[in-house]
Amino acid sequence: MRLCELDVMGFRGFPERQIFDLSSDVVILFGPNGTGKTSFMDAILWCLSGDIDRFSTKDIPISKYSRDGMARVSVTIQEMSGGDPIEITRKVDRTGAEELRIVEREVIFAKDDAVARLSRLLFDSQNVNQEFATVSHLFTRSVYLQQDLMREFIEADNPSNRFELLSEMAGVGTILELKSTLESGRTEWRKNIKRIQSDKLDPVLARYEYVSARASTLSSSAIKTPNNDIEERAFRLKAAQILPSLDAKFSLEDMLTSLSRSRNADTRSVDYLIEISGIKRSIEEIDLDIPERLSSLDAQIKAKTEELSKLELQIGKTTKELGELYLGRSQGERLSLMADIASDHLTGRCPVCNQEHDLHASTKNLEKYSLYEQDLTSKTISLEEELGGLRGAMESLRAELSNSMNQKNQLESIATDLDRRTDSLRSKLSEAGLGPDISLEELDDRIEQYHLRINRLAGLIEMGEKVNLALVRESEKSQLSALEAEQKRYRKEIDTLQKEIVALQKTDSTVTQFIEGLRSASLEIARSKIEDIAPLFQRIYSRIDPHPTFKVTELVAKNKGGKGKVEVFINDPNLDENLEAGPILSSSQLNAFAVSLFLALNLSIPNFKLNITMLDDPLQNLDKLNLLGLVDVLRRIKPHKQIFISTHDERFKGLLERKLRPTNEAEKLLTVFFEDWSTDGPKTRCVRKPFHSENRVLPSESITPGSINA
Amino acid sequence: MTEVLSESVLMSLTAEAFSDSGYSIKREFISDENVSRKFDLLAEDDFGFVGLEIYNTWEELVRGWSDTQASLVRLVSQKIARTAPRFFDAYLVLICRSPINENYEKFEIERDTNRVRKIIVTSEELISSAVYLRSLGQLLPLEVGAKLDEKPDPLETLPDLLRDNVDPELSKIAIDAYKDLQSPIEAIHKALVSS
Repeated sequence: MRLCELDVMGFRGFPERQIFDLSSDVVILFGPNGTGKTSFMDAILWCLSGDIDRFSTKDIPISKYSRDGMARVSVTIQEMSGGDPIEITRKVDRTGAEELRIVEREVIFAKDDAVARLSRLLFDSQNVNQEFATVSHLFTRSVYLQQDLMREFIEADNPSNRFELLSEMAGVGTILELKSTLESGRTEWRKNIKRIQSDKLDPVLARYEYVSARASTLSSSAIKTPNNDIEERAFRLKAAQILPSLDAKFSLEDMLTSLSRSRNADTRSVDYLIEISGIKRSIEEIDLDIPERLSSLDAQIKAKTEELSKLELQIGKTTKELGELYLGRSQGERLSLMADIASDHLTGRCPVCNQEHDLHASTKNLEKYSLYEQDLTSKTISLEEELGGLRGAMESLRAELSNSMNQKNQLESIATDLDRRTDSLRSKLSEAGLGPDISLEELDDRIEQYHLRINRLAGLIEMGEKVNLALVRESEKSQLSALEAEQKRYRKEIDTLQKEIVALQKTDSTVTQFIEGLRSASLEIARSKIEDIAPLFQRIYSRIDPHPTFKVTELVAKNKGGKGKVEVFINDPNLDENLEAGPILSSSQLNAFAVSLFLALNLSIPNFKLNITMLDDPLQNLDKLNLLGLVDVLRRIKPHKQIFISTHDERFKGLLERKLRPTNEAEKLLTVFFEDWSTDGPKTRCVRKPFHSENRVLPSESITPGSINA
Repeated sequence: MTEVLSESVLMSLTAEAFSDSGYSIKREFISDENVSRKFDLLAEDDFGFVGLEIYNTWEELVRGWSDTQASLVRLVSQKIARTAPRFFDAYLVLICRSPINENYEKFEIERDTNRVRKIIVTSEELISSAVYLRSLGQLLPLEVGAKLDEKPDPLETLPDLLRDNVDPELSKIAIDAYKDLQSPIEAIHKALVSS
């Protein structure tokens, strides 16, 4: 499709309405700077994309001199082969309220319908939002080369952005739409699986587990009794015999409880009687001659105490005598020693008074002292022996006295215990309601009766428990059957739901693999298509030929870590090294490089249905050789694209008019002269250049196409 | 030194390339008395007129290119008025089969666009037919590739690309559903359940 008319009013440099018939293969916009050429191009961009992304702020593109404060641009497009024109109108007021309208064969599309229709017109896509998110970007990278942003794709866009844009251009958007559809669908799919799991399967599983747990607590076999009813009646009869109060209104459980209580009471009673019997028996076994034995012991103690006193007196007296002997003996020993010394030295004359004495008599006198000492020693030994015998007798007497005292204490203790037992027996007999004179034989009879009754109760309780158990098991068996039926039903339901979930999960897994595959497939398709652009880029760059050695261009698409990247390089074949173009090329060469890439992209857009190329003043810094190369390229593009090109340079305009002139009757060239600008807008003049038949240099007999091979 | 394409190969390649590109060509063209010049090859199409001359040495080229240009201009002017746009569509291809001495001389000749556009092809560009034809690129139609007007549907290529992930039949079912605005997941599920 091509543009065949532009109707613009209130938009940027066009305050007043102007209508341009664009039904031409080439439209040259010529005029001085600031006369509205860029506004002309922007009007087309804005009308088709709703955005002019080179403006950092999203200013509303309304002319300051717009009479009604509104910008309105209509672009009419038409299939290249003809067909019905389609009018696309976009308008906006100062509040930002924007409106898009499309008129096609008298059918009017407005609002969302217009957006959808425009998307289909431009992209033939299902996903309107996604396409329109990129349309402005796509437009300014491959359709409309803006003069300020000539090198944007090379310098400003990063490799990932380039890949995204080129992916869109390569038609990978459709795959990404499919992927997006699958991803959002898968999210819902998984929610649905979870819903089935939580709302359906989990409750059934919980119910199944509860029923299974209940069933596992129930017995599957009843006690083997011929007839539980007969057993029960027999039990009730026997119970009523023992405890008449247990009539038919009592349940088995209550009866068993009453019987147990009764047995426990009897057990307590018999234990009490056994205790009483024991006390009574122990009292009777005790010797009742305690007072007499106590009296005898008191007499013995008294006699021995008196005897002990006498012995103590005698020991005292003997001890005193022995003391006096010890004293005399000491004096005697000294006198004997002195006498022995004097005897050894005795002469006839006294050594003290020097008087003469009878030596014999003196010797006899001195011998008396020795004999006296010997006599005292003998008396002492005798008395010591006597004292030892007295003391031994005293110790023996004391031991006997102590023994008697102990016997007395024991007897007194036994007497006290006997009193206590007697009191206790009296009290317990009273508590048991028995007379104090009850005999041991009577007590034993009563104990025997209790034992008999307790045994009967125990037997009856055992019988009742068996009957009760049999009845409970019978009940459990019937419950178990019901639970098993329920289990079976739930199992079937669980199996069905689990199969459904497994099938859904299998689909989810397949979809996940699909999505995973789409990710790499979209990258692969984009990469392959991007690399298809590379030769065209090279061909165009070679024609413009801006650099004497860096003649090879590289457009490298890579798939790194699941992300696509596009890198643009330049290469000297002799160096064989890919280099960033920026640092290598001069500004004008870089512009030529950028224009080449732009045109390559422009010619390679397969899914953008508008076949136009818009170049806003591409002259910047290009030298004349590059310009000639560029114009030669445009000549070759002309059969494929409707070309819009603006310039302020008269010589370039002349070159364009000459080189892009119609080469047959069907072709048209339009030059729009922007002669002046005022607050009413640009003063424009349109001049169409018709086809003129031209002479040929070579004679008609020259070799014509194809004949060379023949 | 790298072997360069021979003169006969160059002529054949050039004739074939121009002929295939829609040019009328003339070899061994002998002009009338006013031109007094024999060009190795002349070619013409709707876009322009090309004269081609092969030189064995750079010195010969430097000495002779100006006369060659003058001859070409005279030849064109015999048929086309100097004010006609087509008069500005003349190109002179100057081929030098030996290395050039000074690059600046080459650029100087090429930058002189006063009369006709000169395209100089040096021995570096005569190392192979592909490199040589690339140097003539600006005179030949622009091959834009097959994708410009075709409408490739990447969806159609998916079943094969996804072969390692998903059974191609299943992929096709999902893609067909998607194209019919149906749920591709339901389509996959239905196919899986029924299989």
